[in-house]
Amino acid sequence: METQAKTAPLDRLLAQVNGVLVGKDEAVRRTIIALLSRGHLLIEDVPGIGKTLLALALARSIDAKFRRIQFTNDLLPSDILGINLYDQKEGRFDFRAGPVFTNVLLADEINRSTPKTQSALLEAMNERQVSLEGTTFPLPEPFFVIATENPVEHAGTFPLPEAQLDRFIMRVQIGYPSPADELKVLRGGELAGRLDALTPVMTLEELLELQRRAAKVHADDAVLEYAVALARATREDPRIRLGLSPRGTQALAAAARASALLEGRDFMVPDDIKRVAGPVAAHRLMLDGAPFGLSRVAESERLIESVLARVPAPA
Amino acid sequence: MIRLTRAGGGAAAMGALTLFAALASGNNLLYLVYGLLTAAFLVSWLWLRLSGRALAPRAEFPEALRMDGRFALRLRVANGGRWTARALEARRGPDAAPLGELPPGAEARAALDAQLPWRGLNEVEGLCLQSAQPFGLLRWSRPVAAEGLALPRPLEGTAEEEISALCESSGLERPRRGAGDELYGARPYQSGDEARLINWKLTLRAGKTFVNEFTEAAGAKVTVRADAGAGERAISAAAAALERCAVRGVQFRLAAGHDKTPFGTGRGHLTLCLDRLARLGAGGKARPAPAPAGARAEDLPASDPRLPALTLAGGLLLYAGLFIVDDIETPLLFACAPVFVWAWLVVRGRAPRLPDWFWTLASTGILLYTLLVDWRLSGVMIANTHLLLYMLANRLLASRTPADLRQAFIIHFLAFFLVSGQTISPWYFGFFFAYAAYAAAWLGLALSRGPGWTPRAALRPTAAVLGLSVVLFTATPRIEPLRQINPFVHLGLDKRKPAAEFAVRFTENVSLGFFGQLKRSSARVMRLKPLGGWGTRPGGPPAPFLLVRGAAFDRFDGRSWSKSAPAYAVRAGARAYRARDGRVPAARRGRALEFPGAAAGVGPGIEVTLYPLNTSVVFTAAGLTRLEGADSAAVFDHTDTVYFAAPYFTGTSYTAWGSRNPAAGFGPAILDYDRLLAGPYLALPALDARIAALAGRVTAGAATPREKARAVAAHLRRDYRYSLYSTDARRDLADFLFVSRSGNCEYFATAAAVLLRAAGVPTRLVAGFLADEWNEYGGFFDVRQGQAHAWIEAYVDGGWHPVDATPSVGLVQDRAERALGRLRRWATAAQLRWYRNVIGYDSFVQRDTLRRARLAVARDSLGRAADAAWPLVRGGILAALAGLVLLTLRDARRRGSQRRFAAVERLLKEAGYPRRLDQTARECAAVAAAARPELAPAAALVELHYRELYDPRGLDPAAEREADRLLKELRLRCQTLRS
Repeated sequence: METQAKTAPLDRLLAQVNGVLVGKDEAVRRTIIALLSRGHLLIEDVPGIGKTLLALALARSIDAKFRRIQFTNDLLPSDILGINLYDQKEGRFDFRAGPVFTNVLLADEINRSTPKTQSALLEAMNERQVSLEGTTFPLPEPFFVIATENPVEHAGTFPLPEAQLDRFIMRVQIGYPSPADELKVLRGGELAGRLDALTPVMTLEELLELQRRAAKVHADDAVLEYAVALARATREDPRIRLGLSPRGTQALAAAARASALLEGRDFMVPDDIKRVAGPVAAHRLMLDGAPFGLSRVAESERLIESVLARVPAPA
Repeated sequence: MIRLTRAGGGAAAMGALTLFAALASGNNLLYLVYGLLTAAFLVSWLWLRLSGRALAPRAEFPEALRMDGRFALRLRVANGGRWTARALEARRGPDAAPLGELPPGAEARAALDAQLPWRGLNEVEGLCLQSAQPFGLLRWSRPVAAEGLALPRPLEGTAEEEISALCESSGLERPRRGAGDELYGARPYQSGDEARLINWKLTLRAGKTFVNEFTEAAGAKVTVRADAGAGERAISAAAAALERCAVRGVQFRLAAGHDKTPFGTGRGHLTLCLDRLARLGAGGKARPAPAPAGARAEDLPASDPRLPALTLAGGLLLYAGLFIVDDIETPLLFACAPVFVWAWLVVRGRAPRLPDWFWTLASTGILLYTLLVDWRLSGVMIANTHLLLYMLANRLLASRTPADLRQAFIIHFLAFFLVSGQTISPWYFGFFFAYAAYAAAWLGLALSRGPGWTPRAALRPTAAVLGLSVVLFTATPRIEPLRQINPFVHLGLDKRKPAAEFAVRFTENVSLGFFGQLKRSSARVMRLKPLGGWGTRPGGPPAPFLLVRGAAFDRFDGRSWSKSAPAYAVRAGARAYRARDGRVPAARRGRALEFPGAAAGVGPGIEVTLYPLNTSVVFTAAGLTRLEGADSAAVFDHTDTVYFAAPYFTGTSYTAWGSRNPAAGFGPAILDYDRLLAGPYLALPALDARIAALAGRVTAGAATPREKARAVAAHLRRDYRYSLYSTDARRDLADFLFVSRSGNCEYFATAAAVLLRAAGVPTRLVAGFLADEWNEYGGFFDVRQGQAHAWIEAYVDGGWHPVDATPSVGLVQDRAERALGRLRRWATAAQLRWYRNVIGYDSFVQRDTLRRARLAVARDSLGRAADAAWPLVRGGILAALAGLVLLTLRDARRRGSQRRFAAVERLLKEAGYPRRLDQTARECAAVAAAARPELAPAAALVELHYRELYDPRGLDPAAEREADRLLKELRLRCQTLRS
């Protein structure tokens, strides 16, 4: 009871974002889980299905600052992180913060920029600080990056390597809306209107508090063993060249904790693990044969399911 | 595989001989020697197996070998195990190359000369890795497979046509500028061109400097043909052709049938083509390259400079060992000592060697002397030992080559064998260990082919050999009957047979200083088995020790005891028998013999089994009234000694029934006994005056004869010291009483008798045995010659009571030399133990030892160990129980919920929705509830179950009740579903 009262803001958040992005409950849920577990989200999907909408809705609902970077071939790291400008009048260097200094960052088409730029962003994501010429600037709390990748186009892209993909706690696919939902969208008025109507349902402090609570969700040994068994199964599966790393297992546990909190519990059950296993693990696997694009997405999801089917779950 | 070496064969033969000698003679030290030899073999075998197991030898051939060319065949050995391999060598036929020592993890290489006779693949035969560590008795050998490729030898000489016939050029021989020999053209001079290339003709004509340019047959490709069936000469020609191409720098290849190599240049490609050429035809299959003929060179000891010095030390050791053989005269041994000093100088190089003709003469002379004179003079064994002494000296002084050193070692072993066969001294113990260490060191050093040998290398195998030899000594069965077919007894190897001369003196004459020699003999004299009437439990000893009475003496002449032969008569029934020569025959009653006092009834009985003793005394332990089982007649005399009519040369056995009152003896049956008492039993010869005075002093406070006897015995036991070292120099009584104050049992007995007689108590000396070695296995007392004892009987209170004035070996306290005395006592006890348990270790003692050991282990120590361990066991059980309880409590909660959930699972399964392994509880319940809404409580139950399991707070009582209610509900619904 008590727990449920405390997680009421989460329900409101869910409800609000679901109201904007129609018919994508699971995707929204996963986004919130990623947010709660202090991770970052990777959306791998075709263009025009509402990625920006999702990010904006989320940011507005939690009263967070929102910035967006469109990654192009010629994007430089300084365009993301910031630059030291020489002020001639004052005669000194001033730091101009880049767009990364925000709460919610939408990194659009991250696979379009050079690896150097990608790594600049990913390092900032990992360390939650920016170091420039000897000075360190911490990023604001909470810091949530939603990166998008277009899995179809490959000309002129630099796909993220597996080691970098590992930094995203979850990968989400939004997918096309159902015909009914698409109809509703068209009927429901302008995009901007819906977004403008959003009001924050929680403050940033509340979100931070929820994040702390998510980290403290109790995990029984049996459930953790189940997570480890899953990870080992991915490593030993002959179809998977590289399985889940220990960082992946930790991500699995963190995401499962957030998922438990989202359901209003402060203890983890095996179903939480099972629910988040797909989104957490699928993008971390290196497959034999290296299928491309959407087929790779589908293939990894299938593999995760087959692995899940083979690992015995605790009672 | 492991085989005997030549030395090993000799050692095995010696071992068999030693075993036979040991079995036949029963000489226990020979068992030790046999144990040593057998142990050496066993340890060698084990060492070789262990160290050879992990050796991985590999043969290595150098690159580009040519047929018939001599090369160094390398053998590389890696030690992958945990044991150091020593004395390794690579062998092929008569050739050997040492590898030395190989510690674990190390690698070593050795090279042997070899030759490959065939073209192509050659199977090198006969290569093997060998070792004969640690003692050189067994040799371990592992064959090494080696296959080498021999390239064909190019044809020598100028067989140009033959070679060219095989070459085919292809490709355009485009002339181009290069370093060939055909003129291409001329070009203007450029700086850097060599002056010799200047074309002077053209230069003069043209007025400008021109240089020549030559062609190069670049671009030409040569194919050399070779045919497998063309014969060796053609193949050699092809090899020559290939070499020429390589030298010229053109591109070439080999075509053998359909197999063509790619084009290439240079030496590397040449080797490739020659390799292919080598493997053509017959060369493709390995043909055997046999090992060179010739026998293995004789295994001489290594020429390590330490070996002569070690051999000299061994000689000294054996020389010292000869001292402990009693039968070799010590002066002779001392006379040989300068030889060793001389030998040491010779080894150092500071003294000249004697010429060979001298040694030949000397050897012939000594040999003749031994055969013709010494064998008869000293007996075969001693004569052989004398000869050995000479051979020792000879080898030490005349040895030059390593073969001589080996001979010296063999002689040392023979000396060791002879010493073992002839000594009984406890010093042999140390000698044995010293010889074992010397032999191991000598063998190890002689075997090693490198400077790496240290004494530490031999430590472990030697310790193993010594331990194993002691085990073999204890465990090898002693077979008594073999002693009957005993050729060695006559040679004097059997030190357990009592010498004849001792037995003769035993009855006739007991002299001071006599028993010392006997004490060192462990020959068994008799077995005494108590029969009924002793008053103790059956099967056990009747007393810790028994005084076995042999003969008694009444006349003392100041030096020795003997019997007087008084005239007396014995009453038998109504008649009186007069003694003849002091002896009276015993009456025969049926098959038994009866003695005076038999009418009063028989006392305790003993069954006596006597070994050949060359005496006719009947030994008793509690007087004698009846003698059964003896074949001959018996006589007795006034000293209560009983004799058989004839001495028993071959041993005998009889049953002696004692009397109820042994103190009385035969006295009551003798007429006019008091005359005897006052006569010979009190007579004293002329003695030192101090003795009478001493007697008066000691018995001053005693009134009755009993007290006098006690006082005298106590005085002697307290103030005098027992010594086993009675020398042959016969010290007299006065010397014992007042000067040396130490002696053995007959001194004590004589002193007691003289003192008591001086104090007026009739006394007589008794010579017999002190039986204290109880053999539990057989239930008898083992009596050995070393237990010969003398004591007195004093006529006190109307009977003859034994008084033992000898202090027991362990109790003497000499106030002046307490510590030394303790050491001496310990030494004496150790000595006695040596004689009893090593020299006298025969089958009875063996079986007794093993039985005692088994019983001790089974009964005593096991019981004691169990008692000690019980509290621990109790505590352990309690702790285990407590742990179980705690674990159960901890799991109780989990089990509670598991119990409930197990019920839910079962219900769902029965309803047709078993939980798959990969399904969580919630999923399973959801599936079931979706299909059958009746099963909805299952979902709620699962949520509660989850709370119970995974929520640290668990379920509160309300929730538990709810869960139980739901379970009941579910059960009901399932039941309705089923029906």
